Amino acid sequence: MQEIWTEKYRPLKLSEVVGQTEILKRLKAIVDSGNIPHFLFAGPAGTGKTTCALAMAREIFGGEGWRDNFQELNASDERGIQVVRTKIKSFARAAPLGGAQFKVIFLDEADSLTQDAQAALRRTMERYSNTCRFILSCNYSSRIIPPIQSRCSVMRFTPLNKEDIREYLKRIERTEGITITDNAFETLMYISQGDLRKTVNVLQVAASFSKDIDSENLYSSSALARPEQIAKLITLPMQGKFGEARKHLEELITSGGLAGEDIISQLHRELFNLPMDDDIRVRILESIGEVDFRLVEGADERIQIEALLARIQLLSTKHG
Amino acid sequence: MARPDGVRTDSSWTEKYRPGDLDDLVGHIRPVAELRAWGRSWSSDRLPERRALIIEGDPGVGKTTAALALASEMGWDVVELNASDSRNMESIRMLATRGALSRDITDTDGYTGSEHHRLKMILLDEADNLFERSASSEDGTDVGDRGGKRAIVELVRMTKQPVVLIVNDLYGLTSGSGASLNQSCLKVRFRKVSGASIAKRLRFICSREKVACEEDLVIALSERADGDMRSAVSDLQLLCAGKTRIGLKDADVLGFRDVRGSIFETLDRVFKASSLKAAIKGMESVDEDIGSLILWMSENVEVAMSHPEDIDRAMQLLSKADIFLGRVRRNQDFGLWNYARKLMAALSLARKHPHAFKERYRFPSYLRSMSRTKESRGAMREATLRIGRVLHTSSRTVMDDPIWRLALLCERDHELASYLVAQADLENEHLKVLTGGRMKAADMDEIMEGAKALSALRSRPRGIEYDFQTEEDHDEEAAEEEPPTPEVKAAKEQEKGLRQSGLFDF
Repeated sequence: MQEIWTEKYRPLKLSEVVGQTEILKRLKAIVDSGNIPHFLFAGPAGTGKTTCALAMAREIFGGEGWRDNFQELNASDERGIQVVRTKIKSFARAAPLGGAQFKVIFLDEADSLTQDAQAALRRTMERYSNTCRFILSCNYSSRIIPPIQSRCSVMRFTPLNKEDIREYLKRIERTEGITITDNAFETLMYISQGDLRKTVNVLQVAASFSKDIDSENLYSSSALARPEQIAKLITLPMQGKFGEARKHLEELITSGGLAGEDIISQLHRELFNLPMDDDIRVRILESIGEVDFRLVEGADERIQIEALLARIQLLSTKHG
Repeated sequence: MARPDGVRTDSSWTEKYRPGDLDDLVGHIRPVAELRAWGRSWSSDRLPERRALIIEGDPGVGKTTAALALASEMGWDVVELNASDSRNMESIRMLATRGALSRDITDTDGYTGSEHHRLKMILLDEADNLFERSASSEDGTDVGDRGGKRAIVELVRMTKQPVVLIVNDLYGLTSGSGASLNQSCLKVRFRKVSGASIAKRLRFICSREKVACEEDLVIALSERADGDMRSAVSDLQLLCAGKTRIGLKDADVLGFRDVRGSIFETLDRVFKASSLKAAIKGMESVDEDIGSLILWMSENVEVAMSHPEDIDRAMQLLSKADIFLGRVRRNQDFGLWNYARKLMAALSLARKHPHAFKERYRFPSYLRSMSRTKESRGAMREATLRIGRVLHTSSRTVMDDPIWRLALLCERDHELASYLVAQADLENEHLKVLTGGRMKAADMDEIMEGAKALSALRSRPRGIEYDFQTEEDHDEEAAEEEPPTPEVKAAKEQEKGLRQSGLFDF
């Protein structure tokens, strides 16, 4: 059966996780002791934070019923204080099932919780620590309030190195009957920058075109999947078509459902994939950064990005 | 505002289209969930701890509608008192003694020895502004609502029936002698209905009434209503009287300006101003909210200028004005509005190159398309949320990166698409927005069929769902904030015995 590879090949046991050697050693020892503290997993995307949390829960609770005592929540989707007061609290205070000593809540992307919610979480963590352990994950531990950090064992996940990723990909190569040339591997590394989730995702798309993965195949399939819509926000104004670019932006926001911050982060990425004079590229980069900053400050995404489009048009007419 | 008690006639659209079902109440998901939870707390044999509910919110957002819908969903009868009743202490006390104290009443006028337990909701509308006034009531007596607030407190304390108090202003009810209501009642707040939700409802009504209504008018009505669904619906009814086709020009009847007329003049005054001063003056006369004015301006920058330098200048000015508006939104620092206003007026200086005004000013397409595409945006968000659960990540992360590749994979490999649909529990509309509407109906059907077959094998995507507990936790939370005295702390620890004292010491 065809599945999504990122899930199909997600390690079920700690011993199957690649990289993070030191962290794994410590986690293993703690799991063997049968009791765990609260954890804070910090590190970039695709380095194994979620995988380790899931594997730990499986090993601690064992058997089929492990999910009964394990609750996974994503703070980015439910970021308000209400989620702490409702979902988290009611899970935390219910007794563990099936004779388990405690339950585990995995709160992913905890750095997107509001300050209020984090303060409420801190009390909940304390109050129910008899029956419930928290594993928080975040990209930047600095965004977690100190009182929570001090209640957690902090584990810092580092980007995976090439050898680790290569080892992991070998499992997929064997099972799926695909081959990845050395060249293709380097390309994969370049595209995904040590993010294993992205690596596997890109690989699956390429493999849907051909089982022999080479560099060209990776580039062409990732170009196909690449959101050209985003690139248009740069190319249209560069051709002096501000009006069309404006309409296109509206499409992306209204029909595509993209948020301004998403558009900005994708524009940032696309900027370096498009052919243009490097001087212009730097000026555009500066403007994108400014818009990003303003959005964080609470400005309106539409007006700000429109101003960016006008600026891109101006920059390219001056040079062109 | 007063609604004739119990009367449901088709002559008023606000009554005719009053949602009878909680699920049809637009834009109040959380408060509705809280109402339901409270309603269910009456299902057991024991009386719930909180027997009275205060619904707070601006006029016309659906408070009474929600209370009535709750009663009908729970199968309760309703005894309703509102502005047209005199609500002095005596009448409320009467209600309390005759109805509220008994759990066995069946009809409006009091108790019987009926076998079936049919609860009766006691609904006090406009409970915030009618009590303890000494003004004479309509029938000439001087009793009014005097002492009514104390009677309400008593009613809430004694009642064995669900009591719902509806207020615009909570303080009006809980001030003075009503203070204890703060603790004894569950409070639910209804927020303003969004313009998009109102517009959607208006369109629905128009289609039911077979009236063709210009989209511009729908937008204008829903914006003008400012969150008041009832006023929007009654405005619409007024305009529709005897017509099968209505547009913005018909709106003059309501005494509201033709939006386009005045705003187009403002745009003209700014874009063609001879000096900054004149432009600022031109801005003063407009009655439009500055937040939508900026949308009108950005929409029409292209109409007013064409040279890239001019467009850039104009857009940079607008973006700076917007920063100030953002600060106003964030910090409620309304003084900053002035800077935004003047920066917007400075658009008059942006055009340095010759330009011929050829086009007419345009209505901000953004306002229109945001309301039109609300559903597809909602579907996209839901799709990414559900996929995120399967991939153990947030909808943001799904949206930001793998979504494009997943969509491509689904288009290329229907078996995989079926798998994803089954795992994430996606529906047709989700698959549609996910693949950008490019996929053929037959292919979609094939995928959905495949997913159904797979669903049997599907593993549980999530852990057990726990019931939401709300509101009452609030006070508990506040109490926890108090640092316990050493004695209390020691006692608590002894009691629990297990309290964690160190990180690894469990």
